[in-house]
Amino acid sequence: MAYYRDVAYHIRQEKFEGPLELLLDLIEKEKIAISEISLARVAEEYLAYVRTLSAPDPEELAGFLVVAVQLILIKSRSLLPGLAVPAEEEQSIAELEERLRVLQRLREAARRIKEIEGFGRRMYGRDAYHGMAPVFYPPEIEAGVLARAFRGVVALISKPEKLAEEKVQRIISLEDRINHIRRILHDAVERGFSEIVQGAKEKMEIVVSFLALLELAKDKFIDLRQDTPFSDIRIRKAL
Amino acid sequence: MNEKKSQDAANAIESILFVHGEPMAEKAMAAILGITGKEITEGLAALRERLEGRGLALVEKEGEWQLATHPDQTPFVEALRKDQHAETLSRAALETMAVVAYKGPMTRADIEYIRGVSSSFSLRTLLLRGLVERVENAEDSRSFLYRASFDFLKYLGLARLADLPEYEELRKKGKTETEDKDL
Repeated sequence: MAYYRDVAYHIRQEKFEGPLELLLDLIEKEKIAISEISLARVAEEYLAYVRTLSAPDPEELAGFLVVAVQLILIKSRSLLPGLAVPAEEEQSIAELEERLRVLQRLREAARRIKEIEGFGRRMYGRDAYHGMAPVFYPPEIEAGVLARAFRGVVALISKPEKLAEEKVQRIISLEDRINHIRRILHDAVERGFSEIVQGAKEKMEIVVSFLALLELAKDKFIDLRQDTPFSDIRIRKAL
Repeated sequence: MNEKKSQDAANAIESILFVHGEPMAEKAMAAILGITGKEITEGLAALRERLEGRGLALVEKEGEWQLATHPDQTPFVEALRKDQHAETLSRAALETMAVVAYKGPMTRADIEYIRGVSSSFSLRTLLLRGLVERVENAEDSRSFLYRASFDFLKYLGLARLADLPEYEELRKKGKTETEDKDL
């Protein structure tokens, strides 16, 4: 609702002329210069117009009435030449005339601007460029920096290859572990997993040993037994 | 005066204005080029002279400069951009624009004193179209100042505000003591 009220208000605003503009319209219509005499001449027309104003907002109406009062005074003085007017009023009449003259000149200027607008001689800047992300170059960049940076990248790339080699070794050691377990079981019927991994230097070795164990069990080369969870796994050669 | 020096300044200014694209203050140019304000002024004069008869022109407003296409090239630039503005300004907007262009920077109260009517709608239209810009009022932080924008000059194809018809004369006229009068 507020939206519609707002729109209606502004539509009215756009067409709406203030008291000075109205006065200027009337004077220009008569093709006369701005003076006390011309103001007296259009006073009645102005008052007639104000009477037709259909309830503008009080502030706007006040603006019209202030000018109306001045016009009535001017008109009275033109009819009664001897009429004494207070200095204050005298000044405000002079000010009204001056404001009208300024507005008239600016209105003429607006017409000229309209004319210039009609020429369609617009200029375009590179404003489209505006909003593009600015580029910040790192300070002191030169070819050597790039070369060093590239070497650094290359050094990073070579690392995963080394890791791959280690993996290969592990796979080989799985076979080693299988052979190792077979050898141990050669001498004894039964062994504990703890014995097999005895002296293991790293966790990986234990893991691989365990994998070797599973591998051998799968091949039915050994039997496995664990009495309780986490107790030592007993390994026995399959019969 | 050192002709070579001002030509060098003109070259430098031309290149930074080209890349910058937007209006740039003389002070900013001086800081970037490391030369004095006077040398910038001479460089700009040399550049303006050199741009005579070219496809580009300088636009100036309140000590800021922008490199823009020459008004003679408008049809081609608009064919390229395909964005001709269909809508011209309404009478009320045009009058408000004239007041701001000739008398600005000024407060809304000053504009309304001159026009004798509420101008907020027209001002808003002009702000939206980018023809008027609103800046902080250094003297009174409760109000804003309105002034013509760079786009206004470019819209009309004027190199500076002073190229408006009868600019100096109208600007002087009716320098009123408007502060104490609200309408």
